[in-house]
Amino acid sequence: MQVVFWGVRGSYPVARADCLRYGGNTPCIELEAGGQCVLVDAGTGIRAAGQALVERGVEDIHLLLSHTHWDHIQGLPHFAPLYRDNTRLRIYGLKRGDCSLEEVFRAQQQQPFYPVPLDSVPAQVEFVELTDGQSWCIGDVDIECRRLNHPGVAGGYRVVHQGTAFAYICDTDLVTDDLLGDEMPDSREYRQRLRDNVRDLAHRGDLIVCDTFFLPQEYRADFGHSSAEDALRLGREVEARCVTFFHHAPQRSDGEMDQLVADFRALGQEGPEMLAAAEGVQLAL
Amino acid sequence: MRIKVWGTRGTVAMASPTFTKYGGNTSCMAVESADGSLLILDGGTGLPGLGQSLMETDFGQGRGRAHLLVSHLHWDHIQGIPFFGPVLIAGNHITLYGAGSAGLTFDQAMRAQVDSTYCPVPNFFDDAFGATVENREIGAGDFNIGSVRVRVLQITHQRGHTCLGFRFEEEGVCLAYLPTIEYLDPGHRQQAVDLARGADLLVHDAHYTEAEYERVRGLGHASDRDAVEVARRAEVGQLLFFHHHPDRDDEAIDTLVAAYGNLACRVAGAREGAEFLLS
Repeated sequence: MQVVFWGVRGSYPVARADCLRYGGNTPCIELEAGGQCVLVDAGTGIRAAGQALVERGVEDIHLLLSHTHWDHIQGLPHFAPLYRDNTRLRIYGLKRGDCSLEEVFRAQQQQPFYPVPLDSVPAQVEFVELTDGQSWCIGDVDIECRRLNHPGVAGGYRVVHQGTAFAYICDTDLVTDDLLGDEMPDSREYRQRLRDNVRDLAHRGDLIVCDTFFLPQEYRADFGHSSAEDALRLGREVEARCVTFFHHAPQRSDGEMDQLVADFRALGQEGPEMLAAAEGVQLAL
Repeated sequence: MRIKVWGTRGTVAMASPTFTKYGGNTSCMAVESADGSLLILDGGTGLPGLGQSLMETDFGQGRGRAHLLVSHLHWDHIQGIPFFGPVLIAGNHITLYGAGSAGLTFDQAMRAQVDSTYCPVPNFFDDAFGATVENREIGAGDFNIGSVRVRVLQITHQRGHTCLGFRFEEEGVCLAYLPTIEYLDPGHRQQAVDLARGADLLVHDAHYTEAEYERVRGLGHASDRDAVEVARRAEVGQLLFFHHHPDRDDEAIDTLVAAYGNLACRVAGAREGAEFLLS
């Protein structure tokens, strides 16, 4: 499985000189496994991903969406394959109670906010609404979606190909007992389910991409984000091979990111490898 | 009148090492008047950075007052608004000015952006949270903000889409702001010339190059040649190319600007971080 980070920043894109090494584009990751193209999230990083896919002639694209906050969808209008008639794009995301996934994207791409309506693009675009725990196959790639604890309706994914497991667990608060999402049953069982969801997604993952938006002193229990400590604890518990810091806060400079990683390395703790996601990095799992 | 540029890019933010000179953030400029009023022109991704710098002033204490003028409702001109730090702090007072379009009032459009389906930031337009934020529908006409006389012109960006251009005057100095405009007939150009007449600084859409323009005609933007033509006829002091195309890197903008070294008015590419004092 090949992994390419096209966007790693949280909240909104930042085009600041002191953020360029890790990158300022909002979330988008490309996975290539078994000849299938799977993208995760449609932040502004998807613009460059789209240009690369067009150059490579990739026409069948599966997009896994964590949730519908701006930073995870705002790149789609700028996705070059959308404007090509040979493209077949399938967009997967958790079903919402209030509106369909398709409506969410149509509203983003219409006047007065955007000049090219989604209905008018040449690509064939299909929406697949998922339930918590749903799994399916794309060729010989197995994918599973689980609900995460974040405002609104957010999910994570586990993508497995020939025994190699990738997990995307962003955006979420890994520690709070507060229920942050829409229509979450207020019960001990449901809280346990959310904890199990995270552990099942990450279980012995070769690469688990985690929300590390906060430094410990910045933590807010109502935002639905986590810190690198939380991510590494999870990685140790589930025996992950590598924990990837992701969804960097917009104010976090390259120097601060370097320091964060250096501080953890200096602790010399046993456990998974760690990696701070940087735009343009490609990994072979 | 002090002006600082916070975002210059059109369409989508570009975070890339080849965009560091002119900047990758979408449209945003700050204008401070002689009497200390703060006017902000457009709320693209440059706006959060401006917000962060303001937090060290009265805005951090909940005593700030800002006027944000929105040229039109396309994402690249409004997407920074939810991440403008001062809106989260009670006591600040922020007035947004703009025109509704495509069946939405300006107020409806502003609230749509912070709908919880899309936006993690609480709805600061509600009185119960954050700053006092007021949406004011405007159209063509004149009004004052502090010591600044504001003239609003309805301009052509895309058919069926309302877009505003602005002229700001105080104490004999003048800034004209035409961030997104296309000249589809000669009358349009005359209107722009009238708005920019004698301005010390004209900020003008140069999304396309003259060479590109014929095949993108009707998409809503001007070329460098259009910008220079308006600047020349309006006899402005300095012209800034603005709303740079997302594929136009620093080198390409340098090349574009270099072709205009011999004009009566100075021509430059709008550069994030650039400051101007008009006096």
